[in-house]
Amino acid sequence: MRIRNRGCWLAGRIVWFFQLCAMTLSMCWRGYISYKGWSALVHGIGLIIGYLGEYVVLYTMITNFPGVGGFTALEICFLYAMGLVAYALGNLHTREFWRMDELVLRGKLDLFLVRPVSPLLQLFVQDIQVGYLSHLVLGIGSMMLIKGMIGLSWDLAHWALFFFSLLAGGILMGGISLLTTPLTFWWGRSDAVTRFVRGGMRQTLQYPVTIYPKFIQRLLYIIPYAFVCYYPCLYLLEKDTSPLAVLYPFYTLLAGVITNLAFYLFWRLGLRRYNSAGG
Amino acid sequence: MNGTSYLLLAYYSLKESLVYIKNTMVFLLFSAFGLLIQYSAWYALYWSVDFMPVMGRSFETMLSYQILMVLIRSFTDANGISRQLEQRMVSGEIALDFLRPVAPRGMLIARSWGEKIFQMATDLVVFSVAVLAVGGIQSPASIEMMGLFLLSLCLGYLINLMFELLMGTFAFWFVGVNTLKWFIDFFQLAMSGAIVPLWLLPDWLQFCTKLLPFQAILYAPAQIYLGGMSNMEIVQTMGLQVFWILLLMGLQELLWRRGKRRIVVLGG
Repeated sequence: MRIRNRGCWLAGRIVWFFQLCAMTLSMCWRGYISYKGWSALVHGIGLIIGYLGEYVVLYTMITNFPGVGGFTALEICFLYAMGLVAYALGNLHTREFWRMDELVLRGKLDLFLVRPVSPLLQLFVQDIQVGYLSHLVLGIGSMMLIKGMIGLSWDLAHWALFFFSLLAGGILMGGISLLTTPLTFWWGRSDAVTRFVRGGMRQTLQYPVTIYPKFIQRLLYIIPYAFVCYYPCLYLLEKDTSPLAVLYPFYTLLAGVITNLAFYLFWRLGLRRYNSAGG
Repeated sequence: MNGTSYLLLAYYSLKESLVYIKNTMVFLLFSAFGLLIQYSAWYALYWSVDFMPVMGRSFETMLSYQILMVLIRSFTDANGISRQLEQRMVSGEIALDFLRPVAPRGMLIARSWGEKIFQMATDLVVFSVAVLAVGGIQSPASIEMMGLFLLSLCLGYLINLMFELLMGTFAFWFVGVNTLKWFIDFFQLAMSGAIVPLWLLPDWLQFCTKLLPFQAILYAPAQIYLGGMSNMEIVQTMGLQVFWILLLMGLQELLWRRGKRRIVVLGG
Protein backbone atom coordinates (compact mmCIF):
# COMPACT_ATOMS: atom_id res chain seq x y z
CA MET A 1 0.00 0.00 0.00
CA ARG A 2 2.82 2.35 1.00
CA ILE A 3 4.73 1.50 -2.19
CA ARG A 4 1.59 2.18 -4.23
CA ASN A 5 1.08 5.53 -2.53
CA ARG A 6 4.70 6.39 -3.14
CA GLY A 7 4.31 5.42 -6.80
CA CYS A 8 1.26 7.67 -7.13
CA TRP A 9 3.12 10.53 -5.48
CA LEU A 10 6.07 10.12 -7.83
CA ALA A 11 3.80 9.96 -10.89
CA GLY A 12 2.02 13.08 -9.67
CA ARG A 13 5.35 14.89 -9.29
CA ILE A 14 6.45 13.89 -12.78
CA VAL A 15 3.17 15.10 -14.29
CA TRP A 16 3.46 18.31 -12.30
CA PHE A 17 7.04 18.81 -13.51
CA PHE A 18 6.03 18.51 -17.15
CA GLN A 19 3.06 20.81 -16.60
CA LEU A 20 5.44 23.36 -15.09
CA CYS A 21 7.80 22.97 -18.06
CA ALA A 22 4.97 23.40 -20.56
CA MET A 23 3.66 26.46 -18.73
CA THR A 24 7.09 28.08 -18.56
CA LEU A 25 7.84 27.25 -22.16
CA SER A 26 4.59 28.88 -23.20
CA MET A 27 5.40 31.94 -21.07
CA CYS A 28 8.92 32.19 -22.46
CA TRP A 29 7.67 31.86 -26.03
CA ARG A 30 5.05 34.57 -25.54
CA GLY A 31 7.57 36.76 -23.76
CA TYR A 32 10.12 36.17 -26.50
CA ILE A 33 7.68 37.13 -29.25
CA SER A 34 5.88 40.00 -27.53
CA TYR A 35 8.77 41.64 -25.64
CA LYS A 36 11.44 41.33 -28.25
CA GLY A 37 9.03 41.65 -31.19
CA TRP A 38 10.96 42.26 -34.36
CA SER A 39 14.27 41.59 -32.66
CA ALA A 40 13.15 37.98 -32.11
CA LEU A 41 12.76 37.54 -35.84
CA VAL A 42 15.98 39.42 -36.56
CA HIS A 43 17.72 37.23 -34.03
CA GLY A 44 16.45 34.00 -35.59
CA ILE A 45 17.35 34.99 -39.13
CA GLY A 46 20.61 36.57 -38.00
CA LEU A 47 21.74 33.44 -36.23
CA ILE A 48 21.12 31.35 -39.31
CA ILE A 49 23.05 33.81 -41.50
CA GLY A 50 25.90 34.01 -38.98
CA TYR A 51 26.26 30.24 -38.73
CA LEU A 52 25.93 29.81 -42.49
CA GLY A 53 28.89 32.17 -42.82
CA GLU A 54 30.87 29.94 -40.48
CA TYR A 55 29.90 26.84 -42.45
CA VAL A 56 30.98 28.37 -45.73
CA VAL A 57 34.31 29.53 -44.33
CA LEU A 58 35.00 26.23 -42.58
CA TYR A 59 34.11 24.24 -45.69
CA THR A 60 36.06 26.35 -48.15
CA MET A 61 39.08 26.46 -45.85
CA ILE A 62 39.29 22.68 -45.49
CA THR A 63 38.77 22.08 -49.20
CA ASN A 64 42.30 23.50 -49.66
CA PHE A 65 43.53 20.37 -47.89
CA PRO A 66 42.79 16.64 -48.30
CA GLY A 67 41.17 16.56 -44.86
CA VAL A 68 41.78 16.83 -41.16
CA GLY A 69 42.15 13.90 -38.79
CA GLY A 70 40.65 11.56 -41.38
CA PHE A 71 37.56 13.71 -41.90
CA THR A 72 36.77 15.45 -45.18
CA ALA A 73 35.46 19.04 -45.38
CA LEU A 74 31.83 17.86 -45.57
CA GLU A 75 32.30 15.52 -42.63
CA ILE A 76 33.80 18.35 -40.59
CA CYS A 77 30.70 20.41 -41.37
CA PHE A 78 28.55 17.50 -40.16
CA LEU A 79 30.57 17.38 -36.94
CA TYR A 80 30.15 21.13 -36.56
CA ALA A 81 26.39 20.95 -37.12
CA MET A 82 26.03 18.19 -34.58
CA GLY A 83 27.92 20.28 -32.05
CA LEU A 84 25.57 23.15 -32.80
CA VAL A 85 22.46 21.05 -32.16
CA ALA A 86 23.92 19.58 -28.97
CA TYR A 87 24.83 23.07 -27.77
CA ALA A 88 21.33 24.40 -28.46
CA LEU A 89 19.57 21.45 -26.82
CA GLY A 90 21.92 21.52 -23.85
CA ASN A 91 21.51 25.22 -23.21
CA LEU A 92 17.75 25.55 -23.62
CA HIS A 93 17.34 25.51 -19.85
CA THR A 94 20.71 26.68 -18.52
CA ARG A 95 20.65 30.40 -19.33
CA GLU A 96 19.72 31.43 -15.79
CA PHE A 97 22.92 29.80 -14.57
CA TRP A 98 24.93 32.09 -16.87
CA ARG A 99 24.30 34.86 -14.38
CA MET A 100 25.12 32.73 -11.37
CA ASP A 101 27.67 35.29 -10.15
CA GLU A 102 25.01 37.95 -9.95
CA LEU A 103 22.54 35.61 -8.24
CA VAL A 104 25.04 34.70 -5.54
CA LEU A 105 26.91 37.98 -5.09
CA ARG A 106 23.76 40.09 -4.89
CA GLY A 107 21.80 37.55 -2.90
CA LYS A 108 19.21 37.14 -5.64
CA LEU A 109 19.32 33.39 -5.17
CA ASP A 110 17.25 33.91 -2.00
CA LEU A 111 14.21 34.40 -4.16
CA PHE A 112 14.56 30.85 -5.46
CA LEU A 113 15.33 29.36 -2.07
CA VAL A 114 12.26 30.61 -0.23
CA ARG A 115 9.75 29.19 -2.71
CA PRO A 116 8.27 25.73 -2.07
CA VAL A 117 9.80 24.30 -5.26
CA SER A 118 13.33 23.00 -5.77
CA PRO A 119 15.61 26.00 -6.58
CA LEU A 120 17.34 23.97 -9.25
CA LEU A 121 14.06 23.27 -10.97
CA GLN A 122 13.06 26.93 -10.81
CA LEU A 123 16.39 27.98 -12.30
CA PHE A 124 15.98 25.46 -15.11
CA VAL A 125 12.58 26.79 -16.14
CA GLN A 126 13.22 30.46 -15.33
CA ASP A 127 14.56 31.40 -18.75
CA ILE A 128 14.00 28.76 -21.40
CA GLN A 129 15.77 29.85 -24.56
CA VAL A 130 13.23 29.41 -27.30
CA GLY A 131 15.59 31.39 -29.53
CA TYR A 132 17.72 28.26 -29.89
CA LEU A 133 15.08 26.95 -32.25
CA SER A 134 17.04 28.53 -35.10
CA HIS A 135 20.14 26.53 -34.07
CA LEU A 136 18.11 23.36 -34.20
CA VAL A 137 16.55 24.14 -37.58
CA LEU A 138 19.92 25.06 -39.08
CA GLY A 139 21.85 22.22 -37.41
CA ILE A 140 19.45 19.40 -38.24
CA GLY A 141 18.72 20.82 -41.70
CA SER A 142 22.38 21.05 -42.62
CA MET A 143 23.10 17.57 -41.28
CA MET A 144 20.38 16.16 -43.53
CA LEU A 145 21.82 18.06 -46.47
CA ILE A 146 25.38 16.98 -45.78
CA LYS A 147 24.30 13.37 -45.30
CA GLY A 148 22.82 13.47 -48.81
CA MET A 149 25.94 15.12 -50.24
CA ILE A 150 28.24 12.52 -48.69
CA GLY A 151 25.95 9.79 -50.03
CA LEU A 152 25.37 7.91 -46.80
CA SER A 153 22.50 5.45 -46.83
CA TRP A 154 21.16 4.91 -43.35
CA ASP A 155 18.90 2.11 -42.20
CA LEU A 156 16.28 2.48 -39.48
CA ALA A 157 18.83 1.79 -36.72
CA HIS A 158 21.06 4.60 -38.02
CA TRP A 159 18.15 7.03 -38.07
CA ALA A 160 17.07 6.04 -34.58
CA LEU A 161 20.62 6.39 -33.28
CA PHE A 162 21.02 9.69 -35.09
CA PHE A 163 18.15 11.26 -33.14
CA PHE A 164 19.25 9.44 -30.00
CA SER A 165 22.76 10.90 -30.42
CA LEU A 166 21.36 14.42 -30.75
CA LEU A 167 19.36 14.04 -27.55
CA ALA A 168 22.21 12.40 -25.67
CA GLY A 169 24.58 15.11 -26.92
CA GLY A 170 22.14 17.72 -25.65
CA ILE A 171 21.97 16.11 -22.22
CA LEU A 172 25.75 15.93 -22.07
CA MET A 173 26.22 19.49 -23.29
CA GLY A 174 23.74 20.71 -20.68
CA GLY A 175 25.74 18.95 -17.96
CA ILE A 176 29.00 20.42 -19.23
CA SER A 177 27.54 23.96 -19.33
CA LEU A 178 26.38 23.64 -15.74
CA LEU A 179 29.30 21.71 -14.30
CA THR A 180 31.40 24.63 -13.12
CA THR A 181 28.64 27.08 -12.18
CA PRO A 182 28.56 26.05 -8.48
CA LEU A 183 32.17 27.31 -8.17
CA THR A 184 30.56 30.72 -7.56
CA PHE A 185 29.65 29.55 -4.07
CA TRP A 186 33.35 29.31 -3.26
CA TRP A 187 34.99 31.91 -5.49
CA GLY A 188 32.35 34.62 -5.63
CA ARG A 189 32.76 34.75 -9.39
CA SER A 190 33.08 31.85 -11.75
CA ASP A 191 31.92 33.31 -15.04
CA ALA A 192 35.38 33.08 -16.60
CA VAL A 193 35.74 29.36 -15.78
CA THR A 194 32.20 28.67 -16.91
CA ARG A 195 32.71 30.60 -20.11
CA PHE A 196 35.94 28.74 -20.71
CA VAL A 197 34.31 25.35 -20.20
CA ARG A 198 31.10 26.23 -22.05
CA GLY A 199 32.51 28.47 -24.79
CA GLY A 200 36.29 28.10 -25.03
CA MET A 201 36.40 24.34 -24.90
CA ARG A 202 33.42 24.15 -27.22
CA GLN A 203 35.76 25.07 -30.08
CA THR A 204 37.14 21.54 -29.84
CA LEU A 205 33.82 20.16 -31.10
CA GLN A 206 34.44 21.20 -34.69
CA TYR A 207 37.43 18.94 -35.28
CA PRO A 208 38.10 15.26 -34.57
CA VAL A 209 39.45 14.70 -31.06
CA THR A 210 42.49 12.86 -32.44
CA ILE A 211 44.09 16.01 -33.89
CA TYR A 212 44.69 17.57 -30.47
CA PRO A 213 47.78 17.06 -28.32
CA LYS A 214 47.53 14.24 -25.80
CA PHE A 215 46.92 16.46 -22.77
CA ILE A 216 44.01 18.21 -24.48
CA GLN A 217 42.59 14.85 -25.49
CA ARG A 218 42.73 13.77 -21.84
CA LEU A 219 41.01 17.00 -20.82
CA LEU A 220 38.28 16.29 -23.38
CA TYR A 221 37.57 12.99 -21.66
CA ILE A 222 37.52 14.57 -18.18
CA ILE A 223 35.19 17.35 -19.29
CA PRO A 224 33.68 14.98 -21.78
CA TYR A 225 33.46 17.04 -24.94
CA ALA A 226 34.92 14.04 -26.80
CA PHE A 227 31.58 12.27 -26.44
CA VAL A 228 29.31 15.14 -27.51
CA CYS A 229 29.64 14.54 -31.23
CA TYR A 230 32.97 12.94 -32.17
CA TYR A 231 32.08 9.41 -31.03
CA PRO A 232 28.51 9.44 -32.36
CA CYS A 233 29.88 10.76 -35.66
CA LEU A 234 32.33 7.89 -35.92
CA TYR A 235 29.29 5.64 -36.08
CA LEU A 236 26.94 7.87 -38.05
CA LEU A 237 29.52 8.80 -40.71
CA GLU A 238 30.68 5.17 -40.81
CA LYS A 239 34.22 6.09 -39.87
CA ASP A 240 34.31 3.13 -37.54
CA THR A 241 32.60 0.07 -38.98
CA SER A 242 33.35 -2.30 -36.14
CA PRO A 243 30.28 -3.92 -34.49
CA LEU A 244 31.03 -2.07 -31.26
CA ALA A 245 30.68 1.32 -32.97
CA VAL A 246 26.92 1.08 -32.50
CA LEU A 247 27.56 1.63 -28.79
CA TYR A 248 29.12 5.08 -29.28
CA PRO A 249 25.86 7.04 -28.99
CA PHE A 250 25.24 5.22 -25.70
CA TYR A 251 28.65 6.36 -24.44
CA THR A 252 27.38 9.89 -25.02
CA LEU A 253 24.29 9.25 -22.92
CA LEU A 254 26.36 7.64 -20.17
CA ALA A 255 28.75 10.60 -20.12
CA GLY A 256 25.72 12.91 -20.01
CA VAL A 257 24.21 11.16 -17.01
CA ILE A 258 27.53 11.18 -15.14
CA THR A 259 28.18 14.86 -15.91
CA ASN A 260 24.70 15.95 -14.81
CA LEU A 261 25.00 13.88 -11.65
CA ALA A 262 28.39 15.44 -10.89
CA PHE A 263 26.85 18.88 -11.34
CA TYR A 264 23.98 17.99 -9.01
CA LEU A 265 26.31 16.83 -6.23
CA PHE A 266 28.54 19.87 -6.71
CA TRP A 267 25.51 22.13 -6.59
CA ARG A 268 24.24 20.56 -3.35
CA LEU A 269 27.67 20.99 -1.81
CA GLY A 270 27.89 24.61 -2.90
CA LEU A 271 24.40 25.49 -1.74
CA ARG A 272 25.39 24.57 1.83
CA ARG A 273 28.01 27.31 1.69
CA TYR A 274 25.65 29.95 0.40
CA ASN A 275 25.09 32.95 2.62
CA SER A 276 22.78 35.59 1.28
CA ALA A 277 24.63 38.76 0.34
CA GLY A 278 21.62 40.96 -0.25
CA GLY A 279 20.16 43.45 2.14
CA MET B 1 34.69 68.13 -17.21
CA ASN B 2 37.99 67.25 -18.84
CA GLY B 3 39.99 64.26 -19.90
CA THR B 4 40.83 63.43 -16.27
CA SER B 5 37.27 62.20 -15.72
CA TYR B 6 37.62 59.72 -18.55
CA LEU B 7 41.01 58.61 -17.26
CA LEU B 8 39.51 58.04 -13.83
CA LEU B 9 36.66 56.02 -15.32
CA ALA B 10 39.18 53.87 -17.19
CA TYR B 11 41.26 53.49 -14.02
CA TYR B 12 38.30 52.31 -11.92
CA SER B 13 37.23 49.93 -14.65
CA LEU B 14 40.76 48.49 -14.67
CA LYS B 15 40.70 48.11 -10.87
CA GLU B 16 37.35 46.36 -11.12
CA SER B 17 38.82 43.89 -13.61
CA LEU B 18 41.73 43.15 -11.29
CA VAL B 19 39.63 42.36 -8.21
CA TYR B 20 38.97 38.76 -9.12
CA ILE B 21 42.42 37.36 -9.76
CA LYS B 22 41.16 33.80 -10.38
CA ASN B 23 39.15 35.16 -13.28
CA THR B 24 42.33 36.74 -14.61
CA MET B 25 44.08 33.41 -14.64
CA VAL B 26 41.18 31.80 -16.43
CA PHE B 27 41.18 34.52 -19.08
CA LEU B 28 44.82 33.66 -19.71
CA LEU B 29 43.90 30.01 -19.99
CA PHE B 30 41.00 30.85 -22.28
CA SER B 31 43.23 32.73 -24.68
CA ALA B 32 46.04 30.14 -24.61
CA PHE B 33 43.62 27.28 -25.11
CA GLY B 34 42.04 28.94 -28.13
CA LEU B 35 45.45 29.39 -29.69
CA LEU B 36 46.37 25.79 -28.99
CA ILE B 37 43.18 24.56 -30.66
CA GLN B 38 44.01 26.69 -33.71
CA TYR B 39 47.56 25.38 -33.75
CA SER B 40 46.38 21.77 -33.55
CA ALA B 41 43.94 22.29 -36.42
CA TRP B 42 46.53 23.96 -38.66
CA TYR B 43 49.15 21.37 -37.78
CA ALA B 44 46.74 18.57 -38.73
CA LEU B 45 45.77 20.34 -41.96
CA TYR B 46 49.37 21.01 -43.03
CA TRP B 47 50.37 17.50 -41.96
CA SER B 48 47.89 16.19 -44.53
CA VAL B 49 49.91 17.95 -47.28
CA ASP B 50 53.35 17.06 -45.83
CA PHE B 51 53.83 20.67 -44.70
CA MET B 52 54.00 21.93 -48.27
CA PRO B 53 52.92 25.58 -48.80
CA VAL B 54 49.19 26.04 -49.44
CA MET B 55 48.09 29.02 -51.56
CA GLY B 56 51.71 30.16 -51.44
CA ARG B 57 51.82 30.31 -47.65
CA SER B 58 54.00 28.02 -45.56
CA PHE B 59 53.09 26.51 -42.21
CA GLU B 60 55.44 29.01 -40.53
CA THR B 61 53.61 31.96 -42.11
CA MET B 62 50.30 30.46 -40.96
CA LEU B 63 51.65 30.11 -37.42
CA SER B 64 52.91 33.71 -37.44
CA TYR B 65 49.47 34.84 -38.63
CA GLN B 66 47.63 32.96 -35.90
CA ILE B 67 49.92 34.15 -33.11
CA LEU B 68 49.88 37.72 -34.37
CA MET B 69 46.09 37.54 -34.44
CA VAL B 70 46.10 37.22 -30.62
CA LEU B 71 47.56 40.71 -30.35
CA ILE B 72 45.54 42.21 -33.16
CA ARG B 73 42.25 40.89 -31.80
CA SER B 74 43.14 42.08 -28.35
CA PHE B 75 44.00 45.60 -29.49
CA THR B 76 41.08 46.06 -31.85
CA ASP B 77 38.51 44.67 -29.42
CA ALA B 78 35.99 47.29 -28.33
CA ASN B 79 35.17 45.33 -25.16
CA GLY B 80 31.45 44.90 -25.38
CA ILE B 81 30.42 48.54 -25.60
CA SER B 82 27.19 47.50 -27.34
CA ARG B 83 26.41 45.07 -24.51
CA GLN B 84 26.97 47.80 -21.92
CA LEU B 85 24.80 50.21 -23.82
CA GLU B 86 22.07 47.60 -24.05
CA GLN B 87 22.22 46.94 -20.31
CA ARG B 88 21.93 50.65 -19.56
CA MET B 89 19.00 50.87 -21.91
CA VAL B 90 17.19 47.92 -20.31
CA SER B 91 17.78 49.19 -16.76
CA GLY B 92 16.93 52.79 -17.67
CA GLU B 93 20.36 54.01 -16.51
CA ILE B 94 20.84 55.58 -19.92
CA ALA B 95 18.51 58.42 -18.86
CA LEU B 96 20.85 59.21 -15.95
CA ASP B 97 23.86 59.00 -18.28
CA PHE B 98 22.47 61.87 -20.30
CA LEU B 99 22.29 63.99 -17.15
CA ARG B 100 25.91 63.36 -16.17
CA PRO B 101 28.63 65.90 -16.99
CA VAL B 102 30.46 63.32 -19.12
CA ALA B 103 29.27 62.23 -22.56
CA PRO B 104 27.59 58.78 -22.38
CA ARG B 105 29.57 57.40 -25.28
CA GLY B 106 32.82 58.82 -23.93
CA MET B 107 32.09 57.20 -20.60
CA LEU B 108 31.54 53.81 -22.24
CA ILE B 109 34.74 54.10 -24.26
CA ALA B 110 36.75 55.13 -21.18
CA ARG B 111 35.39 52.20 -19.18
CA SER B 112 36.12 49.82 -22.03
CA TRP B 113 39.75 51.01 -22.07
CA GLY B 114 40.10 50.03 -18.43
CA GLU B 115 39.05 46.50 -19.28
CA LYS B 116 41.09 46.63 -22.46
CA ILE B 117 44.38 47.37 -20.72
CA PHE B 118 43.80 44.40 -18.47
CA GLN B 119 42.88 42.17 -21.40
CA MET B 120 45.83 43.30 -23.49
CA ALA B 121 48.22 42.56 -20.64
CA THR B 122 46.92 38.99 -20.37
CA ASP B 123 46.97 38.52 -24.14
CA LEU B 124 50.52 39.84 -24.28
CA VAL B 125 51.55 37.07 -21.88
CA VAL B 126 49.89 34.48 -24.13
CA PHE B 127 51.48 36.04 -27.20
CA SER B 128 54.96 36.03 -25.65
CA VAL B 129 54.66 32.43 -24.47
CA ALA B 130 53.43 31.35 -27.90
CA VAL B 131 56.27 33.18 -29.67
CA LEU B 132 58.81 31.50 -27.38
CA ALA B 133 57.13 28.10 -27.80
CA VAL B 134 57.34 28.15 -31.60
CA GLY B 135 60.80 29.73 -31.61
CA GLY B 136 59.84 33.16 -32.93
CA ILE B 137 57.49 34.48 -35.59
CA GLN B 138 58.05 36.24 -38.89
CA SER B 139 59.14 39.91 -38.56
CA PRO B 140 57.89 42.79 -40.68
CA ALA B 141 60.01 43.62 -43.74
CA SER B 142 61.19 46.99 -42.38
CA ILE B 143 60.69 49.59 -39.66
CA GLU B 144 58.40 51.50 -42.04
CA MET B 145 56.23 48.41 -42.44
CA MET B 146 56.06 48.10 -38.68
CA GLY B 147 54.90 51.72 -38.49
CA LEU B 148 52.27 51.13 -41.16
CA PHE B 149 51.15 48.00 -39.35
CA LEU B 150 50.65 49.97 -36.11
CA LEU B 151 48.77 52.69 -37.95
CA SER B 152 46.54 50.16 -39.65
CA LEU B 153 45.97 48.50 -36.26
CA CYS B 154 44.73 51.79 -34.79
CA LEU B 155 42.43 52.30 -37.78
CA GLY B 156 41.15 48.73 -37.27
CA TYR B 157 40.34 49.55 -33.67
CA LEU B 158 38.43 52.66 -34.69
CA ILE B 159 36.34 50.68 -37.19
CA ASN B 160 35.47 48.13 -34.53
CA LEU B 161 34.71 50.87 -32.01
CA MET B 162 32.34 52.60 -34.42
CA PHE B 163 30.75 49.29 -35.26
CA GLU B 164 30.21 48.44 -31.57
CA LEU B 165 28.70 51.87 -30.93
CA LEU B 166 26.45 51.46 -33.96
CA MET B 167 25.25 48.07 -32.71
CA GLY B 168 24.65 49.53 -29.26
CA THR B 169 22.66 52.38 -30.76
CA PHE B 170 20.16 49.86 -32.17
CA ALA B 171 19.13 49.28 -28.54
CA PHE B 172 17.10 52.51 -28.81
CA TRP B 173 14.81 50.56 -31.14
CA PHE B 174 15.23 46.86 -30.34
CA VAL B 175 16.19 47.09 -26.60
CA GLY B 176 17.85 43.66 -26.77
CA VAL B 177 20.80 44.01 -29.14
CA ASN B 178 22.99 41.46 -27.46
CA THR B 179 21.56 38.70 -29.58
CA LEU B 180 21.94 40.74 -32.75
CA LYS B 181 25.53 41.51 -31.81
CA TRP B 182 26.10 37.88 -30.97
CA PHE B 183 25.31 36.65 -34.45
CA ILE B 184 27.27 39.48 -36.01
CA ASP B 185 30.20 38.41 -33.87
CA PHE B 186 29.91 34.97 -35.42
CA PHE B 187 29.76 36.43 -38.87
CA GLN B 188 32.64 38.76 -38.05
CA LEU B 189 34.72 35.86 -36.79
CA ALA B 190 34.26 34.09 -40.10
CA MET B 191 34.64 37.08 -42.41
CA SER B 192 37.40 39.05 -40.69
CA GLY B 193 40.16 36.49 -40.98
CA ALA B 194 40.22 35.99 -37.20
CA ILE B 195 40.22 32.23 -37.51
CA VAL B 196 40.80 31.52 -41.18
CA PRO B 197 43.17 33.74 -43.19
CA LEU B 198 41.20 35.15 -46.09
CA TRP B 199 43.82 34.03 -48.64
CA LEU B 200 42.47 30.48 -48.17
CA LEU B 201 38.98 31.48 -49.27
CA PRO B 202 37.83 31.26 -52.89
CA ASP B 203 37.86 34.46 -54.95
CA TRP B 204 34.08 35.05 -54.76
CA LEU B 205 34.17 34.84 -50.97
CA GLN B 206 37.21 37.09 -50.76
CA PHE B 207 35.28 39.58 -52.85
CA CYS B 208 32.32 39.35 -50.43
CA THR B 209 34.59 40.01 -47.45
CA LYS B 210 35.89 43.15 -49.16
CA LEU B 211 32.36 44.55 -49.18
CA LEU B 212 32.18 44.25 -45.38
CA PRO B 213 34.13 46.25 -42.78
CA PHE B 214 35.29 43.19 -40.84
CA GLN B 215 38.36 42.31 -42.89
CA ALA B 216 39.61 45.90 -42.47
CA ILE B 217 39.66 45.36 -38.69
CA LEU B 218 41.85 42.28 -38.39
CA TYR B 219 43.03 40.93 -41.72
CA ALA B 220 44.38 44.20 -43.13
CA PRO B 221 46.90 44.88 -40.31
CA ALA B 222 48.01 41.24 -40.31
CA GLN B 223 48.63 41.28 -44.07
CA ILE B 224 50.67 44.50 -43.78
CA TYR B 225 52.78 42.95 -41.01
CA LEU B 226 53.40 39.73 -42.94
CA GLY B 227 54.33 41.60 -46.11
CA GLY B 228 51.38 40.26 -48.08
CA MET B 229 50.64 43.63 -49.72
CA SER B 230 52.42 45.92 -52.15
CA ASN B 231 52.83 49.64 -51.31
CA MET B 232 49.88 50.53 -53.54
CA GLU B 233 47.70 47.89 -51.86
CA ILE B 234 48.66 49.25 -48.44
CA VAL B 235 47.56 52.75 -49.44
CA GLN B 236 44.29 51.39 -50.84
CA THR B 237 43.68 49.30 -47.73
CA MET B 238 44.25 52.21 -45.38
CA GLY B 239 42.01 54.40 -47.53
CA LEU B 240 39.33 51.74 -47.20
CA GLN B 241 39.83 51.66 -43.43
CA VAL B 242 39.33 55.43 -43.23
CA PHE B 243 36.25 55.12 -45.45
CA TRP B 244 34.68 52.55 -43.09
CA ILE B 245 35.45 54.70 -40.04
CA LEU B 246 33.77 57.75 -41.58
CA LEU B 247 30.79 55.78 -42.85
CA LEU B 248 30.14 54.00 -39.57
CA MET B 249 30.75 57.16 -37.55
CA GLY B 250 28.26 59.13 -39.66
CA LEU B 251 25.66 56.37 -39.49
CA GLN B 252 26.12 55.99 -35.76
CA GLU B 253 25.81 59.71 -35.11
CA LEU B 254 22.64 59.90 -37.17
CA LEU B 255 21.01 56.97 -35.38
CA TRP B 256 22.19 58.20 -31.97
CA ARG B 257 20.49 61.56 -32.47
CA ARG B 258 17.27 59.93 -33.62
CA GLY B 259 17.44 57.27 -30.91
CA LYS B 260 17.81 59.80 -28.09
CA ARG B 261 14.33 61.09 -28.87
CA ARG B 262 12.87 57.64 -28.31
CA ILE B 263 13.95 57.25 -24.69
CA VAL B 264 11.05 56.53 -22.37
CA VAL B 265 11.92 55.79 -18.74
CA LEU B 266 9.27 54.13 -16.65
CA GLY B 267 9.14 54.27 -12.86
CA GLY B 268 10.54 56.91 -10.58
